[in-house]
Amino acid sequence: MNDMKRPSHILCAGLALGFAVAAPSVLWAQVPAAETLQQSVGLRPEAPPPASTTTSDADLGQIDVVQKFPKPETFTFSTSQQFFYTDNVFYTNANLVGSTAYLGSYTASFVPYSLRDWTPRISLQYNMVRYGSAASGDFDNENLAVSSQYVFSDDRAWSWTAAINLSRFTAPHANDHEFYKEVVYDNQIAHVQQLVKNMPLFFIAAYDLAYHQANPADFDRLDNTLSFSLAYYPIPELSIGPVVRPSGRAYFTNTEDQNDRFDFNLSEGLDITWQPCKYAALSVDLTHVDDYSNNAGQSYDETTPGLSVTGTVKF
Amino acid sequence: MSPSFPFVIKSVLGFLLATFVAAIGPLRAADSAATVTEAVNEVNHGSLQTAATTPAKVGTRLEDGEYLKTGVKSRAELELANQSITRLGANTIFNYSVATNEIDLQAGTILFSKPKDGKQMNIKTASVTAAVVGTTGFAQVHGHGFLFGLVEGHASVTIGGIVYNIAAGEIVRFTPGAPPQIFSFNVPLFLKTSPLITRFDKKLPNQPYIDKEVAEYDDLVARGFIGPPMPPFFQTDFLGSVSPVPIIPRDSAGNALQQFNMPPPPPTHPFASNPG
Repeated sequence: MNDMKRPSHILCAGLALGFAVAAPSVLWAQVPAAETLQQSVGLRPEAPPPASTTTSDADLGQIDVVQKFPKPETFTFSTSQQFFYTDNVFYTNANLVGSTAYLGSYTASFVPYSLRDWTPRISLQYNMVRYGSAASGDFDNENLAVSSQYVFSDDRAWSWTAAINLSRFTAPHANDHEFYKEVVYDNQIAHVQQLVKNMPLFFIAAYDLAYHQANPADFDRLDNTLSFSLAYYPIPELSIGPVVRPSGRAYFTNTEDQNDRFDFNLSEGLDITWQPCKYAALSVDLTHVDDYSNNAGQSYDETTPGLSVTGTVKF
Repeated sequence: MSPSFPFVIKSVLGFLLATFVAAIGPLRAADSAATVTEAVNEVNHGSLQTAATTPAKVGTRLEDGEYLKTGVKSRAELELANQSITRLGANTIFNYSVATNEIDLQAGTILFSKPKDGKQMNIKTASVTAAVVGTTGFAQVHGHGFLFGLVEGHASVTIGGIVYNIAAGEIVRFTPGAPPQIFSFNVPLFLKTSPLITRFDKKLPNQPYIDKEVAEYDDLVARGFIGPPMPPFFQTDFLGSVSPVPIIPRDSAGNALQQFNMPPPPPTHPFASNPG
């Protein structure tokens, strides 16, 4: 059984944990695969649902207790305004260029139909990235994504998500010249576990397999990414979570600069998110990425402290 | 032959009398708090100020402050001054005040259906107050215990100073000494089996909304969102409140921009191509 406070408690916690898992991912852009399919996870109900009971009353008739599962909202509109610093704008250790940066993200998504265990979704997203002292790295980005999530355990701890994302990148200072585009075929299996009974500490693990079919083809690659994160809620509105993401990346196109390239990419980070209401959240995070390449000169590392404000409306 | 003068006078007086009676009828009905529209077996009404009770039958009007009481295996239906329909089960003591638009349920079970006119009506017991606007539901009092459920619409229930918002298909159950419990119930089964629904002939004023709620309930059952109680589960919210689109591959994009949108770098250029 639950009382009035519990649904809002679970909602806040779920959303906040979602931010904990997902908000830093935008800043951890070095490893897109693991966060390609973002999933928020809420707390377990504090008490089990009502036992399967049917009571009969002379006046009320049969009162049959049932369980309701959350239904995805049909429309979601969200925006994320992120301000961060990166010490390596161009992903090369040869000559580090650091810069402050802004990433404005605007998203609309539509769920045409859903079942308890299956949620398809169509999404449109626009991003703009601007660097404070490296304007040649600025770009705009548009995404069209079709995704499908299937939950395959009764406790909803396991899920499989598949997605296809069409992505286009343009340079704002070069007459919106399209310089890069890709299709990402993504599959992810995710698992969530409460580590200590009656304690709001959660472990989230995911395996992500993503193939990037890019244009130019130099960037074709297959990412195998594991993601391990913790989320702790000292209070329902606040989450604290470390994340570790090891990823193996195989590049398929040999060029003058790369030959049978394989990278081991490791990112570590910590995120703190405060979500005072279901419509808005504030996050601070710190991420460090180490990329080890078998191609000489192509290893790099990056550190990005950041701050983000996110607003969401669903109906 | 022209009509006689007395005939004309009588006709005019008759018309005026009929007009007067027709005119004051609604006014009189509006003055009463409620009208009994169905009464089965032992149904009485009386004043809280006197001990005397009078049998109530169809058409009996309850004045403000009067109560209606049903006996064993009895039931009754009332149309309140605000057009709400209230049905009483057995052993129920009920009072409605026009002045406060408030139902006082002292004991027993009622089913109410209040039209969606935007005006709030309160359902009060010794320990709980429920506020409804345009809602169909039921309330039951057992001693100090209280059960309140909604078939359609919304309500807010105040227990011990805390407000609980109740949605269609939910029940709040309160037993003194324990926290209130809110749970979902099978709405179509209730509508099929409750004597407060099945044993009355008159349609409820919110019947279209009830039909819509049942249709939505059946749809949610078919899609798996409503089912038998299960063990605890994670409230996973696919893509939740965050961007549901894959994040931008800033690494590849940044490098592609550097490689293809700029003049080719010389061999010793510090920003050598690095696609990720």
